[in-house]
Amino acid sequence: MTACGDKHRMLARLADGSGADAPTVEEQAQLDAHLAECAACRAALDEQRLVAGILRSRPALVPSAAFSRRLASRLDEASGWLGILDWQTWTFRLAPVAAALAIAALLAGTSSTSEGSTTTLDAWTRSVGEPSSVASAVWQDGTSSDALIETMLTGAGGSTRETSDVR
Amino acid sequence: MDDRRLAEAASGGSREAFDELVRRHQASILNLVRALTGGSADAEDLAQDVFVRAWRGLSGFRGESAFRTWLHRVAINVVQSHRGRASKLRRLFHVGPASPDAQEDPIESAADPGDLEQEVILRDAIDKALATLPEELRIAVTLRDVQGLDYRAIAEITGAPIGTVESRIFRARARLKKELKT
Repeated sequence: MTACGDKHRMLARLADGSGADAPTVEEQAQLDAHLAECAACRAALDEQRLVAGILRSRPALVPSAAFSRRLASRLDEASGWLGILDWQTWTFRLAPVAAALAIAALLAGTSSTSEGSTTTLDAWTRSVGEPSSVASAVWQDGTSSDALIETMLTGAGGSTRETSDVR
Repeated sequence: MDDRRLAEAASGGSREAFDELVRRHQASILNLVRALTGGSADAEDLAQDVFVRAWRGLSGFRGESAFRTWLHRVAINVVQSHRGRASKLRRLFHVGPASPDAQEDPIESAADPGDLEQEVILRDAIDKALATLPEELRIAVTLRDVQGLDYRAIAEITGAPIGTVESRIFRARARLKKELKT
Protein backbone atom coordinates (compact mmCIF):
# COMPACT_ATOMS: atom_id res chain seq x y z
CA MET A 1 0.00 0.00 0.00
CA THR A 2 1.26 3.47 -0.81
CA ALA A 3 1.94 6.15 1.78
CA CYS A 4 -1.27 7.88 0.69
CA GLY A 5 -3.22 4.62 0.85
CA ASP A 6 -2.17 4.20 4.45
CA LYS A 7 -3.70 7.59 5.24
CA HIS A 8 -7.04 7.07 3.52
CA ARG A 9 -8.68 5.27 6.41
CA MET A 10 -7.71 8.12 8.72
CA LEU A 11 -8.92 10.69 6.21
CA ALA A 12 -12.40 9.16 6.43
CA ARG A 13 -12.42 9.71 10.18
CA LEU A 14 -10.82 13.14 9.92
CA ALA A 15 -13.66 14.18 7.64
CA ASP A 16 -16.11 13.19 10.35
CA GLY A 17 -15.05 16.11 12.54
CA SER A 18 -14.37 16.12 16.23
CA GLY A 19 -16.56 13.32 17.57
CA ALA A 20 -15.53 10.17 19.37
CA ASP A 21 -14.30 8.76 16.06
CA ALA A 22 -11.90 11.64 15.35
CA PRO A 23 -8.22 10.66 14.90
CA THR A 24 -6.06 10.55 18.00
CA VAL A 25 -3.55 13.33 18.65
CA GLU A 26 -0.77 11.13 17.28
CA GLU A 27 -2.75 10.24 14.15
CA GLN A 28 -3.68 13.88 13.66
CA ALA A 29 -0.01 14.90 13.78
CA GLN A 30 0.86 12.24 11.18
CA LEU A 31 -1.98 13.39 8.96
CA ASP A 32 -1.09 17.05 9.26
CA ALA A 33 2.49 16.31 8.21
CA HIS A 34 1.30 14.25 5.25
CA LEU A 35 -1.37 16.69 4.14
CA ALA A 36 1.13 19.54 4.15
CA GLU A 37 3.03 17.74 1.39
CA CYS A 38 0.31 15.84 -0.51
CA ALA A 39 -2.13 17.77 -2.66
CA ALA A 40 -3.98 14.59 -3.70
CA CYS A 41 -4.81 13.73 -0.09
CA ARG A 42 -5.88 17.31 0.62
CA ALA A 43 -8.28 17.03 -2.30
CA ALA A 44 -9.45 13.62 -1.08
CA LEU A 45 -10.12 15.07 2.39
CA ASP A 46 -12.19 17.90 0.89
CA GLU A 47 -14.09 15.32 -1.14
CA GLN A 48 -14.76 13.19 1.95
CA ARG A 49 -16.07 16.19 3.88
CA LEU A 50 -18.25 17.32 1.01
CA VAL A 51 -19.92 13.95 0.44
CA ALA A 52 -20.34 13.29 4.17
CA GLY A 53 -22.02 16.69 4.46
CA ILE A 54 -24.41 15.93 1.61
CA LEU A 55 -25.35 12.53 3.04
CA ARG A 56 -25.94 14.03 6.47
CA SER A 57 -28.21 16.64 4.94
CA ARG A 58 -30.44 13.89 3.52
CA PRO A 59 -33.96 14.90 4.59
CA ALA A 60 -35.36 12.20 6.84
CA LEU A 61 -38.53 10.46 5.78
CA VAL A 62 -41.18 10.73 8.48
CA PRO A 63 -43.33 7.59 8.90
CA SER A 64 -46.94 8.29 8.05
CA ALA A 65 -49.84 7.53 10.37
CA ALA A 66 -50.84 4.79 7.93
CA PHE A 67 -47.40 3.21 8.27
CA SER A 68 -47.71 3.14 12.06
CA ARG A 69 -51.24 1.72 11.90
CA ARG A 70 -50.23 -1.06 9.50
CA LEU A 71 -47.21 -1.91 11.60
CA ALA A 72 -49.35 -2.08 14.76
CA SER A 73 -51.75 -4.37 12.91
CA ARG A 74 -48.94 -6.66 11.76
CA LEU A 75 -47.56 -6.83 15.29
CA ASP A 76 -51.06 -7.70 16.54
CA GLU A 77 -51.13 -10.57 14.07
CA ALA A 78 -47.66 -11.71 15.12
CA SER A 79 -48.74 -11.57 18.75
CA GLY A 80 -52.13 -13.19 18.30
CA TRP A 81 -53.56 -16.34 16.81
CA LEU A 82 -51.87 -15.88 13.46
CA GLY A 83 -48.58 -15.69 15.30
CA ILE A 84 -49.13 -19.22 16.53
CA LEU A 85 -48.42 -20.39 13.02
CA ASP A 86 -44.89 -19.21 13.60
CA TRP A 87 -43.07 -22.00 15.46
CA GLN A 88 -40.78 -19.63 17.28
CA THR A 89 -43.69 -17.68 18.71
CA TRP A 90 -45.41 -20.93 19.57
CA THR A 91 -42.51 -22.38 21.48
CA PHE A 92 -41.68 -19.20 23.35
CA ARG A 93 -45.06 -17.79 24.21
CA LEU A 94 -47.43 -20.71 24.27
CA ALA A 95 -45.22 -23.36 25.78
CA PRO A 96 -46.91 -23.06 29.20
CA VAL A 97 -50.33 -23.54 27.61
CA ALA A 98 -49.13 -26.54 25.64
CA ALA A 99 -47.61 -28.04 28.77
CA ALA A 100 -50.83 -27.53 30.73
CA LEU A 101 -52.80 -29.26 27.97
CA ALA A 102 -50.29 -32.10 27.92
CA ILE A 103 -50.60 -32.55 31.68
CA ALA A 104 -54.39 -32.49 31.45
CA ALA A 105 -54.24 -35.13 28.72
CA LEU A 106 -51.93 -37.26 30.84
CA LEU A 107 -54.19 -36.98 33.86
CA ALA A 108 -57.17 -38.00 31.78
CA GLY A 109 -55.18 -40.91 30.39
CA THR A 110 -53.92 -42.18 33.71
CA SER A 111 -57.37 -41.99 35.30
CA SER A 112 -58.67 -44.42 32.71
CA THR A 113 -55.80 -46.91 32.99
CA SER A 114 -55.03 -49.53 35.57
CA GLU A 115 -53.46 -48.70 38.91
CA GLY A 116 -50.28 -50.40 37.77
CA SER A 117 -49.65 -47.83 35.07
CA THR A 118 -46.18 -46.39 35.28
CA THR A 119 -47.16 -43.04 33.78
CA THR A 120 -48.26 -40.77 36.58
CA LEU A 121 -48.26 -37.03 37.17
CA ASP A 122 -45.28 -37.50 39.49
CA ALA A 123 -43.36 -39.27 36.78
CA TRP A 124 -44.24 -36.56 34.30
CA THR A 125 -43.19 -33.83 36.70
CA ARG A 126 -39.88 -35.57 37.35
CA SER A 127 -39.31 -35.97 33.64
CA VAL A 128 -39.48 -32.20 33.19
CA GLY A 129 -36.14 -31.99 34.92
CA GLU A 130 -34.58 -34.48 32.54
CA PRO A 131 -32.84 -32.67 29.70
CA SER A 132 -33.97 -35.04 26.97
CA SER A 133 -37.67 -35.35 27.83
CA VAL A 134 -40.53 -33.99 25.72
CA ALA A 135 -41.88 -32.19 28.77
CA SER A 136 -38.53 -30.51 29.30
CA ALA A 137 -38.32 -29.49 25.68
CA VAL A 138 -41.79 -27.91 25.84
CA TRP A 139 -40.99 -25.97 29.00
CA GLN A 140 -37.59 -24.63 28.00
CA ASP A 141 -37.69 -21.14 26.53
CA GLY A 142 -34.69 -21.75 24.32
CA THR A 143 -36.00 -24.85 22.59
CA SER A 144 -35.93 -24.41 18.85
CA SER A 145 -38.83 -25.61 16.74
CA ASP A 146 -36.65 -28.22 15.06
CA ALA A 147 -35.40 -29.52 18.40
CA LEU A 148 -38.95 -29.67 19.76
CA ILE A 149 -40.19 -31.67 16.79
CA GLU A 150 -37.17 -33.97 16.98
CA THR A 151 -37.75 -34.54 20.68
CA MET A 152 -41.45 -35.25 20.19
CA LEU A 153 -40.78 -37.70 17.38
CA THR A 154 -37.82 -39.53 18.84
CA GLY A 155 -38.06 -38.88 22.55
CA ALA A 156 -34.44 -37.77 22.42
CA GLY A 157 -33.32 -34.21 23.08
CA GLY A 158 -31.99 -32.07 20.29
CA SER A 159 -30.36 -28.68 20.45
CA THR A 160 -32.12 -26.65 23.11
CA ARG A 161 -31.05 -23.16 22.16
CA GLU A 162 -32.82 -21.29 19.47
CA THR A 163 -30.44 -20.34 16.73
CA SER A 164 -30.92 -16.96 15.24
CA ASP A 165 -29.14 -14.87 12.69
CA VAL A 166 -29.57 -11.87 14.91
CA ARG A 167 -27.86 -11.57 18.25
CA MET B 1 -37.07 4.12 30.57
CA ASP B 2 -34.03 3.34 28.41
CA ASP B 3 -34.04 1.04 25.40
CA ARG B 4 -32.36 -1.85 27.21
CA ARG B 5 -35.03 -2.01 29.90
CA LEU B 6 -37.78 -1.68 27.36
CA ALA B 7 -36.22 -4.49 25.34
CA GLU B 8 -36.06 -6.68 28.45
CA ALA B 9 -39.72 -5.99 29.18
CA ALA B 10 -40.66 -6.64 25.55
CA SER B 11 -38.67 -9.86 25.60
CA GLY B 12 -40.82 -10.91 28.54
CA GLY B 13 -43.91 -10.38 26.39
CA SER B 14 -44.74 -6.73 27.03
CA ARG B 15 -46.24 -5.42 23.83
CA GLU B 16 -46.52 -1.97 25.40
CA ALA B 17 -42.75 -1.87 25.89
CA PHE B 18 -42.17 -2.99 22.31
CA ASP B 19 -44.61 -0.37 21.01
CA GLU B 20 -42.49 2.28 22.72
CA LEU B 21 -39.37 0.89 21.04
CA VAL B 22 -41.20 1.03 17.72
CA ARG B 23 -42.13 4.67 18.32
CA ARG B 24 -38.52 5.53 19.10
CA HIS B 25 -36.91 3.74 16.18
CA GLN B 26 -39.43 3.50 13.34
CA ALA B 27 -38.28 6.68 11.58
CA SER B 28 -34.64 5.67 11.77
CA ILE B 29 -35.29 2.15 10.47
CA LEU B 30 -37.58 3.36 7.70
CA ASN B 31 -34.88 5.76 6.52
CA LEU B 32 -32.19 3.10 6.76
CA VAL B 33 -34.20 0.61 4.71
CA ARG B 34 -35.15 3.23 2.15
CA ALA B 35 -31.55 4.36 1.75
CA LEU B 36 -30.29 0.79 1.44
CA THR B 37 -32.89 -0.12 -1.17
CA GLY B 38 -32.35 2.94 -3.37
CA GLY B 39 -35.71 4.44 -2.46
CA SER B 40 -37.57 1.25 -3.32
CA ALA B 41 -41.36 1.17 -3.13
CA ASP B 42 -40.94 -1.90 -0.91
CA ALA B 43 -39.13 0.12 1.76
CA GLU B 44 -42.18 0.59 4.01
CA ASP B 45 -43.08 -3.10 3.93
CA LEU B 46 -39.49 -4.07 4.63
CA ALA B 47 -39.24 -1.60 7.52
CA GLN B 48 -42.34 -3.24 8.99
CA ASP B 49 -40.78 -6.66 8.45
CA VAL B 50 -37.84 -5.47 10.54
CA PHE B 51 -40.05 -4.77 13.55
CA VAL B 52 -42.10 -7.95 13.17
CA ARG B 53 -38.90 -9.97 12.98
CA ALA B 54 -37.45 -8.08 15.94
CA TRP B 55 -40.59 -8.76 17.98
CA ARG B 56 -40.40 -12.46 17.23
CA GLY B 57 -36.64 -12.60 17.74
CA LEU B 58 -36.26 -10.52 20.89
CA SER B 59 -35.08 -13.59 22.74
CA GLY B 60 -31.97 -13.31 20.53
CA PHE B 61 -31.18 -9.88 21.94
CA ARG B 62 -28.76 -10.57 24.76
CA GLY B 63 -28.07 -6.97 25.70
CA GLU B 64 -24.42 -7.24 24.67
CA SER B 65 -24.91 -4.34 22.27
CA ALA B 66 -27.25 -1.38 22.25
CA PHE B 67 -30.80 -2.22 21.17
CA ARG B 68 -30.41 0.27 18.31
CA THR B 69 -27.33 -1.56 17.06
CA TRP B 70 -29.11 -4.92 17.26
CA LEU B 71 -32.14 -3.51 15.43
CA HIS B 72 -29.90 -2.18 12.65
CA ARG B 73 -28.43 -5.67 12.29
CA VAL B 74 -31.95 -7.09 11.94
CA ALA B 75 -32.74 -4.43 9.34
CA ILE B 76 -29.68 -5.28 7.27
CA ASN B 77 -30.57 -8.97 7.40
CA VAL B 78 -34.08 -8.17 6.17
CA VAL B 79 -32.79 -5.99 3.32
CA GLN B 80 -30.20 -8.57 2.27
CA SER B 81 -32.79 -11.36 2.32
CA HIS B 82 -35.12 -9.24 0.22
CA ARG B 83 -32.34 -8.45 -2.23
CA GLY B 84 -31.47 -12.14 -2.50
CA ARG B 85 -35.11 -13.12 -3.16
CA ALA B 86 -35.55 -10.32 -5.71
CA SER B 87 -32.35 -11.33 -7.46
CA LYS B 88 -33.46 -14.98 -7.70
CA LEU B 89 -36.83 -13.94 -9.09
CA ARG B 90 -35.19 -11.74 -11.70
CA ARG B 91 -32.94 -14.61 -12.78
CA LEU B 92 -35.88 -17.00 -12.81
CA PHE B 93 -38.02 -14.79 -15.01
CA HIS B 94 -35.16 -13.22 -16.97
CA VAL B 95 -36.17 -9.67 -16.23
CA GLY B 96 -33.92 -6.66 -15.91
CA PRO B 97 -32.65 -4.94 -12.78
CA ALA B 98 -35.27 -3.95 -10.20
CA SER B 99 -34.38 -0.30 -10.36
CA PRO B 100 -33.04 0.66 -13.78
CA ASP B 101 -32.99 4.27 -12.61
CA ALA B 102 -30.00 3.36 -10.49
CA GLN B 103 -28.00 3.11 -13.68
CA GLU B 104 -28.94 6.62 -14.73
CA ASP B 105 -27.67 9.90 -13.48
CA PRO B 106 -29.09 10.12 -9.95
CA ILE B 107 -29.67 13.86 -10.01
CA GLU B 108 -31.27 13.90 -13.43
CA SER B 109 -33.53 10.92 -12.83
CA ALA B 110 -34.47 11.64 -9.23
CA ALA B 111 -37.66 13.53 -9.85
CA ASP B 112 -39.36 16.24 -11.76
CA PRO B 113 -38.53 19.49 -9.96
CA GLY B 114 -41.82 20.89 -11.05
CA ASP B 115 -43.78 18.20 -9.26
CA LEU B 116 -41.88 17.47 -6.12
CA GLU B 117 -40.53 19.44 -3.25
CA GLN B 118 -36.81 20.06 -2.94
CA GLU B 119 -36.58 17.75 0.06
CA VAL B 120 -37.98 14.81 -1.84
CA ILE B 121 -35.68 15.49 -4.77
CA LEU B 122 -32.61 15.57 -2.57
CA ARG B 123 -33.58 12.41 -0.67
CA ASP B 124 -34.31 10.53 -3.88
CA ALA B 125 -31.05 11.68 -5.44
CA ILE B 126 -29.05 10.52 -2.43
CA ASP B 127 -30.86 7.18 -2.20
CA LYS B 128 -30.34 6.52 -5.89
CA ALA B 129 -26.69 7.46 -5.67
CA LEU B 130 -26.27 5.07 -2.74
CA ALA B 131 -27.91 2.34 -4.83
CA THR B 132 -25.05 2.52 -7.33
CA LEU B 133 -22.54 1.39 -4.70
CA PRO B 134 -21.54 -2.22 -4.05
CA GLU B 135 -23.48 -3.53 -1.06
CA GLU B 136 -20.60 -3.50 1.44
CA LEU B 137 -19.76 0.13 0.69
CA ARG B 138 -23.41 1.16 0.68
CA ILE B 139 -24.10 -0.37 4.07
CA ALA B 140 -21.01 1.15 5.69
CA VAL B 141 -21.50 4.69 4.44
CA THR B 142 -25.26 4.64 5.08
CA LEU B 143 -24.77 3.52 8.66
CA ARG B 144 -22.14 6.24 9.16
CA ASP B 145 -23.44 9.28 7.30
CA VAL B 146 -27.20 8.70 7.07
CA GLN B 147 -27.75 6.91 10.38
CA GLY B 148 -24.94 8.57 12.32
CA LEU B 149 -23.60 5.38 13.92
CA ASP B 150 -20.03 5.32 15.19
CA TYR B 151 -17.34 3.11 13.67
CA ARG B 152 -17.40 0.60 16.51
CA ALA B 153 -21.15 0.02 16.11
CA ILE B 154 -20.77 -0.31 12.33
CA ALA B 155 -18.01 -2.87 12.83
CA GLU B 156 -20.28 -4.78 15.21
CA ILE B 157 -23.23 -4.71 12.81
CA THR B 158 -21.26 -5.69 9.71
CA GLY B 159 -18.88 -8.09 11.41
CA ALA B 160 -15.92 -6.32 9.78
CA PRO B 161 -12.82 -4.92 11.56
CA ILE B 162 -12.87 -1.17 12.21
CA GLY B 163 -10.02 -0.63 9.70
CA THR B 164 -12.13 -2.30 7.02
CA VAL B 165 -15.10 -0.14 7.94
CA GLU B 166 -12.97 3.00 7.62
CA SER B 167 -11.68 1.89 4.26
CA ARG B 168 -15.19 1.10 2.98
CA ILE B 169 -16.46 4.51 4.08
CA PHE B 170 -13.55 6.26 2.38
CA ARG B 171 -14.09 4.39 -0.88
CA ALA B 172 -17.86 4.85 -0.75
CA ARG B 173 -17.58 8.62 -0.38
CA ALA B 174 -15.00 8.79 -3.17
CA ARG B 175 -17.38 6.94 -5.51
CA LEU B 176 -20.37 9.00 -4.42
CA LYS B 177 -18.56 12.22 -5.27
CA LYS B 178 -18.72 11.16 -8.92
CA GLU B 179 -22.31 9.94 -8.69
CA LEU B 180 -23.61 13.08 -7.01
CA LYS B 181 -21.77 15.35 -9.45
CA THR B 182 -21.33 18.08 -6.89
